[in-house]
Amino acid sequence: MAKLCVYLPPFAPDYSGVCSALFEMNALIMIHDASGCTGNYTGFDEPRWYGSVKQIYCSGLRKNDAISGGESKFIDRIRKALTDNPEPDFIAIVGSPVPMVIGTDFVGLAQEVQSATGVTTFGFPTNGTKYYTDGYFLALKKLIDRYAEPYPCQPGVVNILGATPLDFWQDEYKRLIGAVAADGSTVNFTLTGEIAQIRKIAGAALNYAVSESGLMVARYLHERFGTPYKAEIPGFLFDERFVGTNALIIADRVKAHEIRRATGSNATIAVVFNNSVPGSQFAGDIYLPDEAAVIKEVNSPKYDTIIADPLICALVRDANKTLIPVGHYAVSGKQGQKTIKSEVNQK
Amino acid sequence: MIDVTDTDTLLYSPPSHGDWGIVRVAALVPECHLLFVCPSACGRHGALGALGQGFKDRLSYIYIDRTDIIRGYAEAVKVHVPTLLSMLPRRPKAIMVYVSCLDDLIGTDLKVLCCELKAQHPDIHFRAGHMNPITIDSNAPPALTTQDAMFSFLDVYGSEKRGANLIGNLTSLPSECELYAVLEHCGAAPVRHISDYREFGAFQDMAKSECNLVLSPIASLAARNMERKHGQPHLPLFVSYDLDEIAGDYQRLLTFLRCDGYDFTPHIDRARREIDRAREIIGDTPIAVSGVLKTYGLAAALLRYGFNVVSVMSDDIIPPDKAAYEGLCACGVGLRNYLPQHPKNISLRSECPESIAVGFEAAYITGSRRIVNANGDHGMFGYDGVCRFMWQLAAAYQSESDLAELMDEYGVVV
Repeated sequence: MAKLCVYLPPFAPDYSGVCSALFEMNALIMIHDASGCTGNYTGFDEPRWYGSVKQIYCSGLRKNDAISGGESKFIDRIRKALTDNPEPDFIAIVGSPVPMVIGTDFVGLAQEVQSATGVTTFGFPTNGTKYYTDGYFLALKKLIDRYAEPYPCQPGVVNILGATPLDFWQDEYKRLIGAVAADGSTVNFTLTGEIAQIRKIAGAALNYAVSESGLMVARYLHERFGTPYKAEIPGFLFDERFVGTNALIIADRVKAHEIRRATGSNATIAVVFNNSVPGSQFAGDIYLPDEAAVIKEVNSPKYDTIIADPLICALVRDANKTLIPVGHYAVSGKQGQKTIKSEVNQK
Repeated sequence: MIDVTDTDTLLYSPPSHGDWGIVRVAALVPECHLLFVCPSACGRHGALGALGQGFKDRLSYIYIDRTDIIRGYAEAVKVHVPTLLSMLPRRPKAIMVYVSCLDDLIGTDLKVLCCELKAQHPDIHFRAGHMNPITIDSNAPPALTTQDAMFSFLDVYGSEKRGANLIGNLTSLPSECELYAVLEHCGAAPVRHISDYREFGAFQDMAKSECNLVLSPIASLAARNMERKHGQPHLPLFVSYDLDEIAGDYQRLLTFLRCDGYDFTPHIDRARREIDRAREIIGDTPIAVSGVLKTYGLAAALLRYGFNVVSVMSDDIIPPDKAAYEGLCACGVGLRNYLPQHPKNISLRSECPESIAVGFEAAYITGSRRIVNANGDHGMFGYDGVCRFMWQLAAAYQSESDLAELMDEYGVVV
């Protein structure tokens, strides 16, 4: 159903979630698009891109290709790219809106590429109408289905699920890893995971779901292997000492709960990306499906404090409300963090 | 020239790739709001780019999903536009309804939609826009159709026309550029550029010009249509840094305006002095060229001026640059030609950090911090453009810059 969005930017899409999940792996990633979708990801959703030598490409899809449906051209292009660069562990073909419209069969295309190149290939039918949380889950699920082996439980070994730059700033991530290590745990899979860690992913004694994306994967691993999980962020810090008595937190669901815990408040939590994570732990959360709902909620007299991305804070019209901006890359990219820095400097 | 011609490859998207993007270009139309009707993903780079450049309040979105794509979304636009108008702080005078690549396969009748919107909101002008890089290899890519849509807002002006429009250049030329004096001499003043206008009504003055001078091929479709609609003949005068080519361009301009007797000698002398000065300062420091409209033309001109150009980085050979490209191929100069989007380049870094990099792609691939911020040829034209380029070249040699900061400031968007 078409939704109007006047003030906020579009949030990080599903294909960015796939690419973000796979970024550190030895993969050749082809975003099947004309150029704008690849530019969205590399230019605005991936802070690790500048200076990187990761093999992330645009397929160079053109109108004639979409109409004629010839996919051999892209298979040849992938083959050529493989001759120019080191052999990847796998190839990922990532969808965008046009392949959705022409009904590209990503499973079939992946099979063709695999048989033409001899390299394991995955197709991801992302289409740019969903958000990065779905993409992250899709990516990890495919890898788990392909590589994860039943593995004996390794006491003290944990996986950290959902820790990508779309949800975590670099210092937050370092703190998270440091806290897990300080706790005496050994990390198997995390942001920098490889196929070897995916193979052993079922051996973890515990999965930390550190974001909503990670929570989706943790639930899947629980279903498949029975691995217990915790939706929490080890080492999480929140600097704001005062949070009003009636606060609203709009953030990634797991981070929002950590903020509430850290501030000891009974704040209301709202999510904007999706409402697909059920569970009693999150029973009281509210879902804001579009910008109009966000505007209505942040301006509700119920709240005296709004904790959210600076672009969401900017929707608050009442000057008496306390605004606590928490930059979220999947919402405002680097612009949000800049806004916060400039506000801090002004203070 | 060591040539790499294989363009049938996957495309690497270096961080330095891109330019203003069509969103920022279309926002040059004063008091115009841009409404993008597309999957949410398609709008992210434009919105974040606009936030960085401070004009996000000029654009909004209608996010469509699978259901809308199947059913069509024209009705949704008609439903949401009144809400949009009620939310904007000022009622826009114009709205461009932009669709993305997928609409090329759906074929929404945007002309009819714009007519219906106009009927609903008679005080607002509506035009269709296409953000569809899927057509980039066609004769109507988004850069051209956007310029065409922008200038299609001009109403026909009936009375006697005077002056000249500069179109295709995204920022106006500095007042020191001799082009203004030439046009004044030929009775073709005032000179008009879209960025001169803050109000939609005043922007209509561009319909009062006698002719269009097209400084970039991106405005060639607009120029043809303006000639048909407004009777404004046009002259392509694409930005060049080659003294001989500039002389030829000015001769064509004088002929076009049926004028003569303008003495270019002081401008030529000034440009030559600046070339000599820059060459003295930078000596035989290697130079890598990218980012300008006629990349090969610039490389060839610099070689002729005695500079040590070692590489050119360009994904396209546009028709106005073809002769220079062929000349470089034929002359046997050991120049390296990079296609920045070629997969081979993904592992290239710090290829020649001691060089002077003209344009962002050259800076990224060479790893140089001596950067000429030449992307888009902003403010460059004629002999004055040569002088400005030479100042920038010398300045780049003398002081280092941070590429990421420069690109951020410029607002690079794919």
